[in-house]
Amino acid sequence: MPGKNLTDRIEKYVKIIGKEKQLKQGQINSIIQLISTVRTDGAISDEDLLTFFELVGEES
Amino acid sequence: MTQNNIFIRKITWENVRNFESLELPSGSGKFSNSTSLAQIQNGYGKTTTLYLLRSVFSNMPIDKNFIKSGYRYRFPHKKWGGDQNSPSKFYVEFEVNDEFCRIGLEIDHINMKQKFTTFRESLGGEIDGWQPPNIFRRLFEGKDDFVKLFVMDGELAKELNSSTGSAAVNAAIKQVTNLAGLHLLVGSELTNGQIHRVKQEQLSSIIGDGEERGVRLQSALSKVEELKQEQRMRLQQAKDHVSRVSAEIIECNIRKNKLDKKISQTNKELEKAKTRLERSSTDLEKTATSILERLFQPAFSYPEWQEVQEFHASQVKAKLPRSVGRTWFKEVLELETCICGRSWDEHSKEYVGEHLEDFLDTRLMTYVKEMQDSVAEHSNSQSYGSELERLKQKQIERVLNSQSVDDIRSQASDEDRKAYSELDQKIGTLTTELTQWEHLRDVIGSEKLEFIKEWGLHQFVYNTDTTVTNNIAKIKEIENLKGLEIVESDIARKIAEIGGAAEIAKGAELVQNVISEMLTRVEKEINIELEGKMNSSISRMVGAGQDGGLVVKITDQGLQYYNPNGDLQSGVNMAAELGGSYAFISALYQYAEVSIPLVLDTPLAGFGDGASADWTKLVPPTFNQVIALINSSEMRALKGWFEKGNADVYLIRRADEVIPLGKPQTGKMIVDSNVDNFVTYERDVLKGDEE
Repeated sequence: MPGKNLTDRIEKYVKIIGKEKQLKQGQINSIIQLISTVRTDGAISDEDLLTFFELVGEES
Repeated sequence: MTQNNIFIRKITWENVRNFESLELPSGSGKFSNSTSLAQIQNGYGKTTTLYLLRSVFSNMPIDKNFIKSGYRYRFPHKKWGGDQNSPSKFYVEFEVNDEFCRIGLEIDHINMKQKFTTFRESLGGEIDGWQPPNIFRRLFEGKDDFVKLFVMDGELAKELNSSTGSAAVNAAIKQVTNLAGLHLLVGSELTNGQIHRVKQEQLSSIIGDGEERGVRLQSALSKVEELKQEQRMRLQQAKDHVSRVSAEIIECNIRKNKLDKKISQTNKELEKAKTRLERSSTDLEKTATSILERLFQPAFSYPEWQEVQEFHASQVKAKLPRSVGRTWFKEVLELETCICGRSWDEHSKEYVGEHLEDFLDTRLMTYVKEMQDSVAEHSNSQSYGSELERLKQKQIERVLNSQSVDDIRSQASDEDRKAYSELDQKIGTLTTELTQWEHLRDVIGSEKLEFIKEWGLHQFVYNTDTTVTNNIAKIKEIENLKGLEIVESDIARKIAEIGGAAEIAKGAELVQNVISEMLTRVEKEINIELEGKMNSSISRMVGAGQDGGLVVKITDQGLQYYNPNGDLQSGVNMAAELGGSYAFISALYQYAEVSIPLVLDTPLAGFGDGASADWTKLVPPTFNQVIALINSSEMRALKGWFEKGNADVYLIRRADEVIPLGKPQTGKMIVDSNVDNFVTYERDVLKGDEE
């Protein structure tokens, strides 16, 4: 079933795009975590979103 | 990806249109996890049921325009048990990951109100409001477009094939694949997603428009650093001048002393007069200091002190309020040892506990008494006026002694007098200069708040709203180093904030770009897969692929069909449209993270027998649960299939109906589970139609 590996595919693409943009592993992991949170909870609060920005931004 | 399950187990109507009171399945029956066919005569309420189901799923009430009559029980009599004046009630029982949940919608036509109800054990029974389990809420709340996809009628099937359905197709893909939340995050354009909004709201006030604010602050900071450097140099110059002028004054005084010594050889009175002058100067200083100290004594400076003193003297015997003393005793009793140093024993504690009230009656709290005593005893024999007079006296003494010294010096030779005069003049000039340099030194270097305030040294440091200035024009006016440091520190803090905010903004930009690109790539891949699966299904369906050779594509204009030559087919027959829609939904469903029931209203309208057979091969096997509300024509098309036990069948009819005729339409609406009745329902009507 294609849906079974949709999460894996999303992660795969985030990793590929992250590498293309020369992101560090920590930044890629943070974005994957953000995607997982939004897909699990349906949405994310502004405050939590800012935390992810910080996590990704501080490593750039 | 399917991990969660949602099943419909029962639907109940009360006073809804044709339904007096009906449970489907009736009694203790439940919808199974396979396909259920509910045969209902046209006009009996299939579409009504569909709309109510969509409301129950999405927590979106029915259109207000339909409250008054749209769902009201339609028969004015009560012969069959219905009541036109009672609210219409519609309930759906769900099983959500093994949890029982019943959601109801009650429509009060008379008071024009409607409300949802929810029954869950975890809620303690039935409550008002729409409170299903979280997974249900997250999937469906407010998502009527999504709900339409699996509580579906022919209208939506057609819509998916039109340009107006393009939004529905794309929204459906996003919602079923659970990528909709990520789309809200990044937005359809760069400026309308949550990421952009949060970035604007939270960071723009710090960063400002572009980098301008940072540049302005950096420029102001450079200016402050430059000014500090300048002021430090000026401070050092002022200090050097103070030292130089002071040295020159000392030098002048040494020369004056030499002259004095020369005069003293002939006039012994000069040394004595100088000693008196020195003493009177010291006296004047001591007196001034002493009076200053007295000013801080209330007995000296407060004219009504005697009254205060008398009051405290009268209160020396006063006691603390009992409650205060009692609290103190309780605290002492809680200590490990008494304040006398001995360990408490039960007897001692008991004794103190019993007698503390007596003690409070007769004893005073020492520290209060000490304070009262010190007030009562504080006094001052000197008055303000007498002290002022004393100070004045000391000043006069000093002036006289100074005059006396000058008189003696005036008796010197002309040459010496000239030298004195020149020295005095020089000392006068130097003293003025010294005062000016000292003032400049203090203006630049002082950190004493009193001095800073007295001379208004920080008037350009702060704005009128007490915030610190970042304005270069104002900063240039600040001479005081402490003031410049305050401005420097404020600007540095803001620059640091911008630095941090810029980092966060960079993070937001990266998140936005990565997720947007990921969505583009993943969805492109999904679309290709969906098209592949759809066409695989369609190629086996009569009316579309099999005999028409049509190929369907997902486009911005919805589902579009192409003939074997690759030409776009602007109009295809209804069977092809329906086939395409079912193929799309079936293919899409495989991406769902939740197993959702598919509810269909008249799903085969427009299909021939062949297409209906294809439908049975495509739709029921894809979904864990299918509930189809069908009419008798559709029943006939599916007969060979459900008779093999592929579906549970229910006939909803009126109690008085003659089965083959479906008439008369009288009697209470019932659920008839008899398969023979299901098969023969409206047989004679259909036969007549065929003839």
